[in-house]
Amino acid sequence: MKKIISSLIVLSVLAACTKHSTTLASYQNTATTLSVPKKFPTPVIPSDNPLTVEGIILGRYLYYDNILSTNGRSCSSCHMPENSFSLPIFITSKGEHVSVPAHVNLAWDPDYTWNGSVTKMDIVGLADFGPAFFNTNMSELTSKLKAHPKYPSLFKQAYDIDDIGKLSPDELQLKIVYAISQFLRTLISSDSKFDKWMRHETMFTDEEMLGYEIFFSEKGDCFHCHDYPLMTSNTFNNTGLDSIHSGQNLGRYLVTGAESDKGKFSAPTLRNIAYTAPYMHDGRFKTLEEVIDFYNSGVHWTSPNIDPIMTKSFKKYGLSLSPVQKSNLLQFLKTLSDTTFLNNKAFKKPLDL
Amino acid sequence: MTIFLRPFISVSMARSFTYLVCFLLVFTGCKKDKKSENPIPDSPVENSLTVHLSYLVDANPLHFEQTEYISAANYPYSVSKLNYYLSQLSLIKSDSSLLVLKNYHYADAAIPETNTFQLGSIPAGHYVGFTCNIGLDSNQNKSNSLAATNDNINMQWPEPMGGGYHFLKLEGYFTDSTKTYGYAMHLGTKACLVKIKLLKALVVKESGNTDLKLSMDLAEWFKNPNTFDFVKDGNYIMGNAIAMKKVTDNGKDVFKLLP
Ligand code: HEC
Ligand code: HEC
Repeated sequence: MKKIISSLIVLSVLAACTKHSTTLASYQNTATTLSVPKKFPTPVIPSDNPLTVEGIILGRYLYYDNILSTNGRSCSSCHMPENSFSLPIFITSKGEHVSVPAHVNLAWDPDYTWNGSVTKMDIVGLADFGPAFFNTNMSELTSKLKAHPKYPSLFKQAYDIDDIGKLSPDELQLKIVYAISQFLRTLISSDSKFDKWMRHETMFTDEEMLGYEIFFSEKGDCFHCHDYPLMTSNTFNNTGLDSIHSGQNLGRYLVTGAESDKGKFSAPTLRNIAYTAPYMHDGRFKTLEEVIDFYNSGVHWTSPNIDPIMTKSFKKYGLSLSPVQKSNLLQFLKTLSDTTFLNNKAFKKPLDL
Repeated sequence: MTIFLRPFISVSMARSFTYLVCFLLVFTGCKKDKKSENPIPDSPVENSLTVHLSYLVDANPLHFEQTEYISAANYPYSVSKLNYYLSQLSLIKSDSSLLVLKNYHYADAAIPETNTFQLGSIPAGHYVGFTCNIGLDSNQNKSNSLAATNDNINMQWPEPMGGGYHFLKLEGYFTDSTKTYGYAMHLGTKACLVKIKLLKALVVKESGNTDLKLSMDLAEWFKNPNTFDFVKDGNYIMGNAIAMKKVTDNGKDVFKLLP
């Protein structure tokens, strides 16, 4: 057994190095790595959920399959590929509006959900089996998966599981969300017009160029929290959306209990931002024009813990952008749309599902 | 290649040894050449030097967000962030020449792992001091010149403002009469490189570890020679050459070597 394991390690390292897929005994999955775009940092892959070719395939099927729920929902019902895996709006049982974050470059994200309540992506999906989302019946799910024409062999290839029925409900849920997370890590965007411009493959229009200069200078000062290449600083900030915080708007405070975290939210990536309306954690802004108006003249300066970056010109509040400058900034934001990503067939629903 | 594709029927010692060798080969083959932070090669460590970075505000311990300090210009203030680069970290030899220990180092005062780092195989002997820059020297201060990491992803100084990296981000809040405002002291670009030189007899031992303890007093950024006034000089200085220069000039004596 030990020998087999060491041989497996050899093979997985080899596969990781050369991105080869090997055709060996069926229990043997194939280690793989993400192709990290230039100028991106090395993503952190948790050691208990290494990427495998077969795990990603299984994850992709499960992500799009409403077999997981008793109400017809799949992950993709709320994370729709045509919206960069976002959704117009989700309303909680408490009636709170929550904007569904896009799935873009999640492998580089150190925390998940708007207030960073989960630090490991692999387990975010566990909550989805509950009544508010999938309302899953685990024993029914187990029998459906066992009887399915595809899943027994997909589970065998990804995890060397001979009988799905032998897994406890908790084990099965974990296997499911781990495979889905492997798939989610492959959703990499690095081919927007802005990326191409950075790589000297395309030209900006004059308007886009002026917008870029506003974004990446003290004029608009967006880069401090939405920097290239991830278009997020992966920090928690209070941008001054509210002057008083209560309920979900308490943000990061609900996770840490620290006074200084009231009103702070995870700065989201702006990649594919034109596809993920409405905006902010509660979807309060319908359009990017409204977002720009907010940054230009709608910030609540007295908001406790407002990010120091937001109070920059403390005697003359606001960015003082002219209507033309606002429109230039909008044009630049649209260069963050990545149609290669949005049209990528490998990210879409498998055709035989 | 074919070795790897053989079916696993026999488990002889010889074969598993082959696999081990191949594993090692493949493994070393995988290593990429990266721009190194550390010019001293990793030879077997006989001795080491550990650099410890610590922080004070007017000789009081630094507590993020909570404590209010009083600036030289008399504003109560707090600190919420301190991120910076050190570069060309060097020991000064008795003939005044430099032994470069590390090309650059990123520190976030809030992340302990970035405030202690060990350097191996330092020539033992007597040194007369320590020198470094706060910020990146012009060879390294170019956009994308450093390997992309999850740390420095937030430190880029945008191209439209000159490119390179932030040298320093010192942020927090201050109170002017009754109102609280944020402040963001950001330094970057060539003119804002802060040169640090600390003369002190240092002995690096033949074997074992030698500690080098550097303490930054944050209050020094706001005084000596320039009493920095958040209201008059600016609470947000990035892109404001005059204000950045004032803070840069104050930086020369923010560090002390502790015994
Ligand atoms: C009923 C709608 C719904 C369904 C179904 C759903 N999600 Fe979500 N998802 C959301 C909402 C809403 C959020 C944001 C929650 C928050 O931030 O408080 C979210 C957030 C996430 C995040 C965090 C993203 C980030 O950037 O922080 C991940 C990862 C995720 N979902 C994965 C999944 C997976 C995997 C599935 C299927 C197992 C799934 N979701 C099914 C609505 C849904
Ligand atoms: C101090 C950090 C900070 C700065 C500066 C900043 N943002 Fe944001 N941005 C955030 C945070 C945090 C959020 C999420 C806030 C929330 O939902 O409560 C956000 C949200 C957004 C969103 C909505 C994203 C979504 O998925 O809903 C857009 C668009 C946006 N910012 C654009 C900009 C632009 C344009 C600028 C410059 C004018 C800018 N930001 C400056 C931190 C910042």
